[in-house]
Amino acid sequence: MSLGLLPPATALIGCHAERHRLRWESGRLQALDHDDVDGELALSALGGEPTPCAQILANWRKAQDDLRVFVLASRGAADPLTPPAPEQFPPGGMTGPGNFGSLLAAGAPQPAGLFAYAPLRPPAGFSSFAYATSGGGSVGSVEPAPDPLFALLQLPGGLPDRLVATVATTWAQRLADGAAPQSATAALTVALVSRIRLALQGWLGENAATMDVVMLAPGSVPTIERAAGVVRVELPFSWLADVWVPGLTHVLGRFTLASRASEGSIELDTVGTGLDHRPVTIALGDEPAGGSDVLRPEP
Amino acid sequence: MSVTPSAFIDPELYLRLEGERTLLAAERTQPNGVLGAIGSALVAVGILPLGVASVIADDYALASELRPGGHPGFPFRGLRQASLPAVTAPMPPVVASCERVDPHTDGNIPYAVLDDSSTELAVTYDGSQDWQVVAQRFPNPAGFPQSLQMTDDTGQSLPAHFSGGGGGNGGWAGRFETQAPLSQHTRWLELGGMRLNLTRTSPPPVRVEQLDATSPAADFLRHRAASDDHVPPPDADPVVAALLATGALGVDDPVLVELGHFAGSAQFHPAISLPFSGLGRGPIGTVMLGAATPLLEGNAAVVYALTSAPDGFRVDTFEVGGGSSGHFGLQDVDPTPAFAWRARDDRGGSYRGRWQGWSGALHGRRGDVHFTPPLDPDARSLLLTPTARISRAVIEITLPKWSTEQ
Repeated sequence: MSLGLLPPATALIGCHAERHRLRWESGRLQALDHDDVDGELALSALGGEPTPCAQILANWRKAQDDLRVFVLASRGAADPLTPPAPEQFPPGGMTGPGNFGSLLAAGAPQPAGLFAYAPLRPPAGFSSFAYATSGGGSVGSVEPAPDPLFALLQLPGGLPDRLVATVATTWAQRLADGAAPQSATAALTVALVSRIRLALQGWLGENAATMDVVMLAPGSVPTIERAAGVVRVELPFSWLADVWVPGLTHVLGRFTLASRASEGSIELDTVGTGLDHRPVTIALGDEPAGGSDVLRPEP
Repeated sequence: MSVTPSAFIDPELYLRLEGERTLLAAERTQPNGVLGAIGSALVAVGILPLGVASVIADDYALASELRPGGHPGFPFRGLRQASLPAVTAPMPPVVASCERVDPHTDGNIPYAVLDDSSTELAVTYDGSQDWQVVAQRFPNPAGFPQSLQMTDDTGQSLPAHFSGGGGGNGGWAGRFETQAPLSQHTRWLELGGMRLNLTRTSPPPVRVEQLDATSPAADFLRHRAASDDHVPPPDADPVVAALLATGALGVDDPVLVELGHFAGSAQFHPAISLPFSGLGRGPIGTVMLGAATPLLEGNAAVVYALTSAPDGFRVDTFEVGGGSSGHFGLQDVDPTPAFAWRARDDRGGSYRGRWQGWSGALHGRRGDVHFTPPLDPDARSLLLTPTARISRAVIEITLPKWSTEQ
């Protein structure tokens, strides 16, 4: 899947007493208010303190193929993370390694399904900061930890989900290229299986005990069937990148087994709750700003 | 790759799936030790590297912290993750009995431990609850009860801080300990100005015995049942399920029947399944020990003194090594077997020990192992056997002819 299909996301963070923008677009994270982040990082390697923006970018780059992201990050809307408490990030910048100063969401509209939490309303100012948890869980504080991933996954503005998207896409490509080491197999399998199970649980209303999920080799044809009361699903890891990441898991009340992006459209192989197959095509508008996307179920 | 255990499942995959199950369970409100227990078992039986299991357990603990209802990690986790020096076998300590100088009968200072890093005096008290009254026992009570000055025969004097606790009936027991050593050759110590003449005794001999090994999984489960009071029955035990699913344990392994029989009683071990003795009251008194075991499968113990009481006896112990999995409710992966504490006497009686009232350190724990039933007053020797998975230490203790005054 092209990461370009995901909408851009922007977060405001406190950086040396200023509010700076971090913007993710088409698979890249950029610090919009810094002219030369790489230069800053080179200087910090010589002993200087990196700016919060530069530190986040450095941590992000290291995390782009980190399998631990799959363990720590949300598995979907049914698995919300606790948002950071605003008092944990006092304005004025970074307080230590892994802390990002104050964080404010200024994200683009976020597709439903994937995202663990989203602002209740567009932030009216730097002082407002509210989150809703999709699972109805309480909003609480989380102690900062020195683990850089912990802090990356608490960034606002949809950036954590963009990080998961990046990691999923990276490993889907490595598997397709035969470049994934055997040592990654268990982590990749569990990353896929857990997310499929959660998606199917919500859709079918069945528990994990009645599901048998199998990770197929790259390029294999996905299948789903029910036998002896057990739903057996077989999917390649690329399902994460192609279906789950762009929020196509459920379309028109159907479960998506596979998707294929082509010029101007996305073709989906979906099944209904009776496990009947039906293709669905999403026609993409030409102009992202003004065009509209059209869902076109096919008979 | 199928995650259905149609055949044996890969150990790493199993541990990760268990992590998912616990993380996404609706009732997840507290960190628990299930993942640590399973990881410890898979590492102990040799089918999963310790580094892999530790990373998985740590990551799922961190994932839990990121979710509503998750709890910030205890500081112990950060400490554990720090680079720790390797565990080495401890040296036998110098333990000396103290001549009773306190004319009162409501307190006792039975022995001193003269270590190369500290000096300590064990104390017990079962009298007035008025600290002012208790302080009058000492010529120089400054600092009491938090601390008292301790002095040796070279004139060196250091503050000794109290650690310990109270009993249910108002009495208390513990030790006053300096933070640097006084002379290990001193003939006496003064505590708060009260002089205690010291008498050194020879430490008991210590030897090591190998146990009959069966299979790594069976040895692991037997030892676990012997050292842990809270092992569930096999059909509800996530560790047994993990060993079966990964092929480390056969479904027809006889250990499963044995564990089912002994589940909950925690009395099982092939080398220590002796009949329990003991009815009636144990003698009162203290036996100096001052012995140390060698490292047994990563664990070792120092025993300072045995104190017998009517309802049982306790051994002042420092157990060093791993085996702390689950002690703080964390998901630590630690395959080192904590000792199962047992003893048997020369009259056929056997005793089971349990840790009580200990304080933890990164490398181990110090406190009392309480043994029941009460010590047979007619026994003249006792074999104290801290037992690991496939080996045990045997500490040969000569018991005194106890006073009949109780």
